[in-house]
Amino acid sequence: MNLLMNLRVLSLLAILLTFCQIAALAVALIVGEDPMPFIRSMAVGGAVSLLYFVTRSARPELRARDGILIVGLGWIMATVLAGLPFVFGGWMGWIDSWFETASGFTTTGASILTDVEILPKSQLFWRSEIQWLGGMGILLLAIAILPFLGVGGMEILKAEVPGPTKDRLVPRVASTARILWVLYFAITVANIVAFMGSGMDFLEATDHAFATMATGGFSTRNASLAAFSPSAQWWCTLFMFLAGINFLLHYRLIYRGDTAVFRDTELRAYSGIVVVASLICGITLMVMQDKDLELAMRQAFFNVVSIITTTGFANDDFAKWPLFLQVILLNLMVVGGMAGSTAGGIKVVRLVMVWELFLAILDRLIQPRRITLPKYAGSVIPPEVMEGSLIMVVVFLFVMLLSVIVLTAVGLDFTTAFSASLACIANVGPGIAKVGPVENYAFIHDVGKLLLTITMIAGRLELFTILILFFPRFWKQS
Amino acid sequence: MNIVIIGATSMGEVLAKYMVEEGHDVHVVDTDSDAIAQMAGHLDVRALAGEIQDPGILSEVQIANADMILAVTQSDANNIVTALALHGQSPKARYALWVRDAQFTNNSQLWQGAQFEQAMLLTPERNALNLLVDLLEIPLAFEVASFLDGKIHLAGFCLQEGSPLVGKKLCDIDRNAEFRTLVVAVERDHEVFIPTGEFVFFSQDRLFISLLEGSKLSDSFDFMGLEQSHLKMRNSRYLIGGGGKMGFMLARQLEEKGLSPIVIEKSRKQAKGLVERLTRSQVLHGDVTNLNLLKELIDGSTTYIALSGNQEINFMSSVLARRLGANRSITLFDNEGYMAISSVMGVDAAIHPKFTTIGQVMGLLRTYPVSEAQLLLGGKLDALLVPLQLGAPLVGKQLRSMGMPKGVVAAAHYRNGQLTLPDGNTIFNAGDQVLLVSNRQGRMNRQIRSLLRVER
Repeated sequence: MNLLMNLRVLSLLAILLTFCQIAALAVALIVGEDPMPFIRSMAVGGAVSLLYFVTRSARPELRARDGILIVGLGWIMATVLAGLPFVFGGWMGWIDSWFETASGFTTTGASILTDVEILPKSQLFWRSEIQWLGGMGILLLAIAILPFLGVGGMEILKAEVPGPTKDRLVPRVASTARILWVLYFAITVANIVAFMGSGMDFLEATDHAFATMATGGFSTRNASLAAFSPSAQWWCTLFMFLAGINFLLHYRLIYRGDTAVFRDTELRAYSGIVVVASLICGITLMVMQDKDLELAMRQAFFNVVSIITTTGFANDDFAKWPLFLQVILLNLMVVGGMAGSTAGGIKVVRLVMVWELFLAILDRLIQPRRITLPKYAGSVIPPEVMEGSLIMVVVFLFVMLLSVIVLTAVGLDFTTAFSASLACIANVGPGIAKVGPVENYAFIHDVGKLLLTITMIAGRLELFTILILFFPRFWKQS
Repeated sequence: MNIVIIGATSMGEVLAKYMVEEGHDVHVVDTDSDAIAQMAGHLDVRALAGEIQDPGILSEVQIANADMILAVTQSDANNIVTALALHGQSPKARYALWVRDAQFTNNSQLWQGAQFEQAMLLTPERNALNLLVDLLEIPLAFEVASFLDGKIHLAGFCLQEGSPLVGKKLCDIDRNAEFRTLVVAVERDHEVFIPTGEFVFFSQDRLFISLLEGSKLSDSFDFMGLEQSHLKMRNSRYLIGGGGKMGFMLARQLEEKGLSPIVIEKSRKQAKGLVERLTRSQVLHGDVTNLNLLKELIDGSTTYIALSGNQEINFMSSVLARRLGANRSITLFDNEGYMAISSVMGVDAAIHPKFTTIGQVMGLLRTYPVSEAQLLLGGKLDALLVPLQLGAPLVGKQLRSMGMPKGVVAAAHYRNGQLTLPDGNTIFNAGDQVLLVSNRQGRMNRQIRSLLRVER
């Protein structure tokens, strides 16, 4: 393990985070709010950044293990450092701020705030910006603008970008990272324009676009998106849907005009699930709750997309929906968006692969002599990718159940504990019962908050990057 | 530049590594998905598993935008067919093909069509053979590069304790010498310097000098304080370990110079074949790691050249030969990882055939015209022979007033068949060729470009 270089990359991350706070500081100065929380937090970030000068002699090589360590520790460090403005502003305690920041960076959107509207605008802006940075990946941003990491960058990319297989769009890792961030930035700008067109002011449009594109779900209003016009809600649905698509496909379509992306297996599965689930919800809402067509469909599509992309915005309290619809939404949380998107969850592609394996096994049971190999998009799924997908599903459920045990131990009822665990590991945010869309996580015992914080970070990094840090074999010199 | 490498072979890997270092965008395509995964794991390239003729792969690598296409699979035929087939898709790209079979490489008629106009043949074995002959002609050198068909050589020597250069400044030496020897680069503790006047020599420095056709090697040997007696090739006995293709070709070259080398070959059948084709050489049937055999053959005047197909045996037998008193051992190897250990092991010179092609290919990737290019010192030293164009900053001024960038030196000057060593008073004209040597650090490439760029 190249510890010195790991420290160096972490110090660069601290520098980057410190610079990112300039935007929030600017908001504070323009709006005329107290800039001190940001200045103090930037001073701390600056102090950590000094490590950069101490680690000058580091060798630049990074191996797989280094990539994992950098991403694991990097995310833990980022969630602590970026939470400082909340602490210095006096709005949260240490544990609450870590929970809130981790919830932001992992684009979960679970909040411990009972009333967000009392927070200053600059604090709310920072809260949304954190989500935006975490959505595409803060280390990916580091690779994009600090292109010195070379091959080491690939190790970091592998550990941070979600999905069962990692391909670069273009030969160099740094260029790949840059393209992803440029795309992300461009679609976010489009989203801001769309929100402003539907009546939001610039700051609120930006805050919400950040949270939408990151599939985060932090709002500046207690009522979330219900506080805005129907057209804003429709735009939000569209952009959440786009953010849940693999950015590789966006790249192909936009940069290369490749219309074959519309035939992508995962995209079709993802869109299919969204449309079917939304129609079920919409029709049920029309029939059982007497909502008119536009309202029912708006609420259905909005909440289904919000949940499957693990955003967690709400435009209606779905806790008041018929129970079976709530259970459908819980199931969608497990699914998540597409690989290579900003969404969380297990990812559609993995579930498609597991489904293919299931079908292959069925075929084998029917005709024992038949040779069956699960295929995805026309080619055989490599055994290690198949394994990875299966184990991801298993570990996802296992970690979630472990979290349920701890949460019930600190006093939560089963439904709340279950949905909170699921909503955190899948980076959704709101669950049902006491953590429903209009509720929050403030009442949970500190032990529960700490556990959920780790769960959120683990979920964002697809579990293994964080879990591996708890296993002694990772730390042993081999 | 956009580069497509077809074949995740050791050759492809060596080339990809240097291209990435210079900041090019590289795609690698191979059918072997394990080799591809390996490549993607440790090089900053995009590696794709599949057939290059697959339309999906072709559009993935954006073949039409490729500036250079390298066909370096294990099969000559495959490489040639690939280049022919892709020519229609990207006629403007430069092609480089790895071709091993001498039947192909020696017959220039085969390479005449328009589709091969932009093609370069990568012939590592032939390059290695030429290098070997150069090394044998320049005794004591640990590395050699040749330009303009051998008119210019860059040769590296190790300074011994007691050399008149040790402890002196470069500017003092120059002033006192009756004849000029141009030291173009020095390697010390794995770092490469382009020496300025203030540079002080230490013993064990490895220095490169430029040798021009017609100049006397003995003068340079005097300058560096090297033993003159090595200079006569006739005084040496040449012992070649391994009678494969390389061993045979070297023996024949030495025969043409009137020498009678000894070739040791392990297979009796192959040894017989050698006897049939060689005239003056002695062919022995035996194992090059056999101590008794080597003891019998080696004395203080022996130059041992290890050319078997097994690089580990090459290294071990070279070390053994040195231990038994041979005055020089040269070895052939294939694994880039061994590059650094050859001098540690006590091998005098080591040749990595695939590495010889990197310089050639990198020369094509420059944004200015380059007639010949070579890499030395495992890639730490870059030597480029460049034609000068009217209007280039290097043209028409005294070299002294030019202010060459730090880390670049003009090592030789070629004008109308005349070769000279450049000095402060030299003025380059358009149409001349200059050998530029640089230590390949930082933005050297950009600096050299600024010397040669013609403003339009």
